[in-house]
Amino acid sequence: MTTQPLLTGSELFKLIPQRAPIVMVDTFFRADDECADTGLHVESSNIFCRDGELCEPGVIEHIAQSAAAFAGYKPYTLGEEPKLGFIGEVKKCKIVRLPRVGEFMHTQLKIVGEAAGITLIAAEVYVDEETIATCQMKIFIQA
Amino acid sequence: MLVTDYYKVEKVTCTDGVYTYLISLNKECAVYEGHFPGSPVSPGVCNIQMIKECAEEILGKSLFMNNLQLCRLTTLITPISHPQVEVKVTIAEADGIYKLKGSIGMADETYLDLKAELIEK
Repeated sequence: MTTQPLLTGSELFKLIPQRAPIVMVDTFFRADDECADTGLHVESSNIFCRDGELCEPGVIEHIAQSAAAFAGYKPYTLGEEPKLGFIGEVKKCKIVRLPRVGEFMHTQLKIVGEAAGITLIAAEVYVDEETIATCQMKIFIQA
Repeated sequence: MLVTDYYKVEKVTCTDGVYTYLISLNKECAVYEGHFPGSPVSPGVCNIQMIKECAEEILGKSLFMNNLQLCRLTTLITPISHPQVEVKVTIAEADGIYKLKGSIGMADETYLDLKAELIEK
């Protein structure tokens, strides 16, 4: 894993249209044509945190916004604004455990298919070396 | 409710094991400040959570959705275009696993459908 991120915190706003209180990605490590690495520091102030854990919608939204950031990275390198992206489908989303406040989620994304404005991504979410969630998602990016 | 003031249950009915929650979406919910600024769209994950919370109420238990098998989001839901929605839930338990089928729609239309397995938290 690359340790030096390309973008952190509000710099991610160059890649995603979501804003507080529903920003679920705060680190963008890298991207190439097929893969990207993102992350999120789990803080108690997170709208999806309850009893010291980031609940399921937070984990799934983190994956969705990671995909949005991935989709927004290329336009960003070309000096364009991020586009609105919507989840079309969530599939085979297995959550082993919920991440806890204070933990850092590191997410690896891979594009497994692309057609007509729909991107199919596979994601794996880690805390340190432990896989805590895996998921497939179809994302529509608004032209 | 995980996301404060996201929705309000207006009415609950149950026919042949299918629970129907008539729900009002609250356009004043803080989540819309960021999703998206000036253009409120109900986050898919909040709608999934809403179905889970209906299931928790039916069972009187806290649940962990550890296996979301499939969720299709076919219509964009906003609190402006869809101020009221119907959440339909069926739930069956076997060997400690709760099998949930849920949908969000209105009348004959379905905006989101969901199949998931949950365990007691």
